[in-house]
Amino acid sequence: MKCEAVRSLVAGYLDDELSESQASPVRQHLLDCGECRKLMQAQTAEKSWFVPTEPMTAPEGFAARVSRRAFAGDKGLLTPVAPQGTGGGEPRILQFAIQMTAVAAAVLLILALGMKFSAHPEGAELRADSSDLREALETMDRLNREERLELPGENSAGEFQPTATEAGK
Amino acid sequence: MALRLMESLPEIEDQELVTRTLNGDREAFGVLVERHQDRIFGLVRHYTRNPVEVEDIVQDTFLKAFTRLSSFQRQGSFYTWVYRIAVNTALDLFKRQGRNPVQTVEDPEVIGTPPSRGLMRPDAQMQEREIAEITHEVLAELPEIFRTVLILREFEQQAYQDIADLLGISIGTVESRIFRARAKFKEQILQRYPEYGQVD
Repeated sequence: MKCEAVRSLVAGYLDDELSESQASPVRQHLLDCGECRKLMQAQTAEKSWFVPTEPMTAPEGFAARVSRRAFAGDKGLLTPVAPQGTGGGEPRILQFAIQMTAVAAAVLLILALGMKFSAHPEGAELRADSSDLREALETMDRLNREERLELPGENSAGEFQPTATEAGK
Repeated sequence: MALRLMESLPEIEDQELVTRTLNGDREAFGVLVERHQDRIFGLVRHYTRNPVEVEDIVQDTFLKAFTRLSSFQRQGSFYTWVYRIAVNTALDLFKRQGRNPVQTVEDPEVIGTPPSRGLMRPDAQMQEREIAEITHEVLAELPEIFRTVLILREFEQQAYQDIADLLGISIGTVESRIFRARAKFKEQILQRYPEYGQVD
């Protein structure tokens, strides 16, 4: 086994995390290689700084207190809460601005959709107010006919005929 | 002294206590807390030396567990589940307080150049309490991801696979993280206490 391979396994070897088939060649290599043995000793020294600590006991009545609070709906002291009072003003202003922008965008969208569906022609044919137009055309025809009756030089085909005075010029 | 809750509901499996709690049995939840509280206290005190903070974190751990109890998978271990909540509660608190922000373990900058000198064992004359004092002082300075794997491995004696399950990472990542964490621990201890450096 090469030194590089052994060095990557030394931590697992010390932590007893290797299978016997992995640990056996590491063990053999450590017996033969002074450099790798030194590395293992260094890591053993590092581990010796983690001494077992005394068991810790919860304060008296802790479990009953927690259980009572849990059933009372307590979510805990460390649960994040929204900033209140004067603190955190800037985020609240920003939040307000974002909300207002969203409302304005929604209103604009509703207006745009309303205009689209109420004012836009539904068919391919252009729809003007045809009854008024027809009435206007009939009025114009009537006025034209009356005007023609009043003009003596106009023939029946509606072509303009100059008067004698005008023709002699 | 009040009668300990466990005496009233002995020998009942955690899963059964969870069911009873979900059915509104307050005493059942009290037994669950009492059964696991000491180990959770033992875990959390590695994250902070402040006893008030330890108690707050443990209390919040169980309160969170209560609110999420319906999501607990009955086939798993209740203790492992609560343990994970405790680790996350501690990490969330420190993150919010800006203490030891989480750094990406793969970032080589986190490690820097490992010290060439080795680390000596603590003095034989030193009391275990003194050694623990130094170790926790150095641990407190480590990035959270390193601190957590060292606590779980060195103090809690968790297997690599259990650490992987607990933190939701691969066993390979656990190996590499522990390796880097030990290197960082050595670097920090030598910076603070150069007298513990090995003389070549």
